[in-house]
Amino acid sequence: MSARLMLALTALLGLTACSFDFGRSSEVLDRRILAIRVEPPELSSGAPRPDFVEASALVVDPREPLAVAEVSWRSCMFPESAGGGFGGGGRERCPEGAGTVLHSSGSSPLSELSQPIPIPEEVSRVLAAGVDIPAPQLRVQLHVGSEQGELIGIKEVTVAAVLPEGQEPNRNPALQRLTLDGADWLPDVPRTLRYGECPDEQKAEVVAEEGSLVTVCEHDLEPLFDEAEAQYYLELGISGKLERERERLRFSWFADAGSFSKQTTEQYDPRDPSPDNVGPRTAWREPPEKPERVTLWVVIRDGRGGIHWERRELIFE
Amino acid sequence: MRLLLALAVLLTGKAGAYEGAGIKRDGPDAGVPPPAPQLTKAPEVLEFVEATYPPEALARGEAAQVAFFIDIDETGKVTQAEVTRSAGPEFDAAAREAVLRLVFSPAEVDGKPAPVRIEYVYHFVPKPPPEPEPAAVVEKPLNFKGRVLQRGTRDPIPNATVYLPDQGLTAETDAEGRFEIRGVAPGEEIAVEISEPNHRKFYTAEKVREGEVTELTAYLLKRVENGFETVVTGAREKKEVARRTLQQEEVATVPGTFGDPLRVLQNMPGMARAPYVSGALLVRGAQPQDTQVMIDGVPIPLLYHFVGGPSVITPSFIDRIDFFPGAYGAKYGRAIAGIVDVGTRPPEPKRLHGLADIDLMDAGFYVESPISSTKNYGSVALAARRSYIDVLLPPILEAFREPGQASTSVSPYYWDYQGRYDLKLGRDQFELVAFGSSDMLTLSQSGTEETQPISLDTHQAFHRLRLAWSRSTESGWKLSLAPTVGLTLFNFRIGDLFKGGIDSRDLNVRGAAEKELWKGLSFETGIDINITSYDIEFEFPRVAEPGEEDPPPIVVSQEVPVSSYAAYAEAVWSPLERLKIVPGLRFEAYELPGGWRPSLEPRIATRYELNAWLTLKAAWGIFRQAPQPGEVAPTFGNKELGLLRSNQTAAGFEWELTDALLLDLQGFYNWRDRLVVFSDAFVERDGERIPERYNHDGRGRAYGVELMLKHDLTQRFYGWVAYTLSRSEQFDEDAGIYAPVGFDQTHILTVVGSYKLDGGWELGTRFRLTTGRPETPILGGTFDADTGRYFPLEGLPGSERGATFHQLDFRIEKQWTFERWRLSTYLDVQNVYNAANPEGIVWDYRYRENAPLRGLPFLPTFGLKGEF
Repeated sequence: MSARLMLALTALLGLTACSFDFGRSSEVLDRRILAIRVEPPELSSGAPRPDFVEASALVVDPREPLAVAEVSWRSCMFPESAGGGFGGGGRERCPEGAGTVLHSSGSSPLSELSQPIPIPEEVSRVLAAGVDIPAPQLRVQLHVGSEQGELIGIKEVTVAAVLPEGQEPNRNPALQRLTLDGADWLPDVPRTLRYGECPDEQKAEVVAEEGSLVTVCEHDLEPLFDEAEAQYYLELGISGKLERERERLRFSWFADAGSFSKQTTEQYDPRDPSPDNVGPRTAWREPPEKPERVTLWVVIRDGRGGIHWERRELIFE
Repeated sequence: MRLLLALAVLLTGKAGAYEGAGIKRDGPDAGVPPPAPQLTKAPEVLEFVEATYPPEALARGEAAQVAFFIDIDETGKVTQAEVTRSAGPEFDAAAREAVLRLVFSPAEVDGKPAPVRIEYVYHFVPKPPPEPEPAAVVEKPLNFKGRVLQRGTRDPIPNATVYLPDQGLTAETDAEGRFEIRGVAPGEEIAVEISEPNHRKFYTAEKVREGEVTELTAYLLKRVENGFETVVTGAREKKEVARRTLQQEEVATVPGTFGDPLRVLQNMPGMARAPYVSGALLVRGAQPQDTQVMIDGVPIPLLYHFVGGPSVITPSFIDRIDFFPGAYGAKYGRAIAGIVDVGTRPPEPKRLHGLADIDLMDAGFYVESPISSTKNYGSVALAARRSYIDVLLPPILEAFREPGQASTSVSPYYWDYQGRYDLKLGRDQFELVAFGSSDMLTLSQSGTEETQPISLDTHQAFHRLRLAWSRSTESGWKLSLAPTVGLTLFNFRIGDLFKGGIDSRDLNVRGAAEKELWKGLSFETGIDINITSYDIEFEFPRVAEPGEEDPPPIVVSQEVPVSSYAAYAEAVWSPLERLKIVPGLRFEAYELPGGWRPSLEPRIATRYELNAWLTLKAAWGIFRQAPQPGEVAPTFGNKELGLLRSNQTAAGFEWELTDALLLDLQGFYNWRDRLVVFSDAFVERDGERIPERYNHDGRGRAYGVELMLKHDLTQRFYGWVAYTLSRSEQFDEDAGIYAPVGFDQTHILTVVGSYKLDGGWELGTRFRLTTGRPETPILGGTFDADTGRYFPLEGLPGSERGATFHQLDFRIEKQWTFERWRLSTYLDVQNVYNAANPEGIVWDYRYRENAPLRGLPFLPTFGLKGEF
């Protein structure tokens, strides 16, 4: 019999030693679609039925913040999936040609990307009928021109023919406050920091481009939200029956310089036994070289289609 | 038809002035399980013919041995003698002339005269000094006796010659290796020479005193230390088109397999390469769960400890592995791809034997013995193994823990056991076999500022107890019945809130009756019942309502029966001497959560011996199996699912190039339909709209050619070249094409060889070359705003291939043989030239950049084993 421990350890080391020098998703270095939101995120027969949903997008370009790009909005419908769900499989782009509606196409400043998407007749009919039948779902698709090729993002509009009794349609989440190092950090009010100046317990080491270690400051970020605003909903659970669930907010952090201790964080859930279940806080680390301005974004998702985002700026002295 | 048996019998003859009788000795029990033909009577020399001693050699006092393979026909006449170990042209010619004139009693197989092949050694012993007067010998007292045993194994050596050259006295050892010599003149250093053809000559000097009996135990070293057991195999009747059998010796030393028997199977034709060291059995491009693995015909729920660790049965406990890559007989079922049947080793009926196996990962033992050395109380074998990773891992993790990191306590350990008791009472044979396995993992991690504490426990285990009875009746029937009871456990706990388990109680009953109804027609019928009831119980935390504390958990509890009741019949009909037709029919009724699912499965195989060395063969059959329990469970799956189906055909030929070299080539075409695939549709059931989850829309096909050039196990060598050219596809509904399945590999070449050198050395090598895995090109990424992740834009499924895999493995073993035990150590090096062999592609978060995921690196391992 071989020394299988050696095998296991060597294989493990061999596998874990594979480090791939890919960029992190939280580092915004070029033009990116960071979020697409629709208002309202869910349509149902029990709620007011608008003629259209308002789609908007968070598209950023750190090298050209005021850029104007070729932008087009499209939409298509697809059958309700029993297996996909949010974050599940089966995601795909709208098909080319028939079945996909082009709503607008042309140049547009990246800072103002929005588009009303009319609700298709098929969806309206299902909502008007108000009976529990498979409802066609609506997919919104955004195309943005960029140097690296066209950026494409999709966002689904949930259509529920009938919601369980007492359940209200999903809303986009909201953020009450965002704090930086414990103090409120208001939108549109850049915070000024001194590069590298912070108490020792906030110091951290980061790797500079040439490979050397540089000591920088780490700044705590904490999103605050109203727990009472969390929505409850019914979903088919592992028991095979409808089970009551509670929204859990997920935070994706982005910056055009520096890095985060955690790229994504989640609202604390007493049911979640995973090690990362410690709440939505993260920390932003200054870059190895002093920047002039840094922009941070946080995108908040409720896990079932509701989306919100915030933008903040730092100025370094 | 000519049935050849390689006998567990070695015959020797001698030429000399004072010896003239052929001597026979019985070989060890071949241990071939029923229904293999049994050698019921070995051939005995009836008329010995003394060879003419070459005069010059006689004058020089030169001794010699010439070894032959001789063929003996049903009448006992020698039809052919092939020199396998020469002693020079003069000795060879003289011995061959004599051997061709020998007359034997006919050998019997299953009680009937049959042609056999045996190894025969002719001894030339120069005439010793004149014998003393017979009367004087009789009067002299017995004062020198002893026993001659094989060094290391302590196996008795019969027919060894004990020779006292100074006194001209000689004796032969009996079946127990004992000898006695009378009238040895007393002396301080009496030279003793002991010789036997397969062992090195033994010299010693013994003291013999007046009025005392001197006892000698001599340990003779085998010429090829730990040589492969070449003459222990009784060839079983070939009925199937493809049954590949590996003997215990072959599964233990193939380089790159860690001595793991199931991993050795991956080197057979039709078996695709599994990534890394996973050990998955990928037969003809099918899913691993489409091949059933059994121990003594009993299905086992788990192949490897901790998914990819060592297999759950100790290699020492394995006698042989039968692998049917497809189109198998009616005796087996419930698998739409292949069958692997691991046969356990019958305990040694004559003496105590055992081995201990210790390495850094686990320790195990194997011991076998008769219950009584004088009475027929049967014999027993026991094996057990336990890992001690739980002892070694915590200090390693602690040593690598950085300050501020959470401390982790992890205790993975596994154990397994096997036991077997055999008893033969007259015509009745009883076997009691118990085996089981357990894998436990306990993990706990302290919390830090950035992490919360976590604890995890899992336990997976199974136990089986099998009682088998078989009897050969006077009327010619062979009857057997083997009920097996079992328990399978899987339990987990994550923190305090998530817990659950899937347990099952298992009952398996196999019974068979077979008989040769008349010459050229034998018939077998039997039952194969497998009753399993899964108890599924999960407990999850429920969401608390506003203001609610400690809500009751969600409990899921259900019973999922997945049972089947099969009866089969199979005939072996030889309307012509060279033709064998094997029609079979299996009827199986599956009891699934959605109700009963009957299955009628006709099968047929045929073999035609074109001549003595070329056999043509073909087979066809229908095969079905139940969905996986999770797929058919009412809550988690689709209880309306039925059976998966395959329609398999195969045809080819076997060409005996030499006595030891066989070329086996066959083509196959398998259709598979009603495969279970994932569904994201809703269905209306019992007035409710519910997710379908799975359906039977999957269909696929596999076709190709398999070639096996195998050198049978001989004393020094075994090896084979396996090549498969194949294509395995499944229909892709989205793309509207048949796309290659994930395990499809167009070319699979495996070359294995192992050679025993003198001095206890053994060298082995394995080379593998396979086509890369099918890959679906990724053309870019699309941002999914609902998840914040990107999903790939994919091209045609399976339209590209990963890099070709090639790897060379090497193994060297050294064995030291002591008088009463043996010690061996080996070095096994995988991927000698460190080929990169990417096993996949890793993409960045938005599918713009990628990098290969490297395969197994250069990997040396070693092992140590003691055997007595």
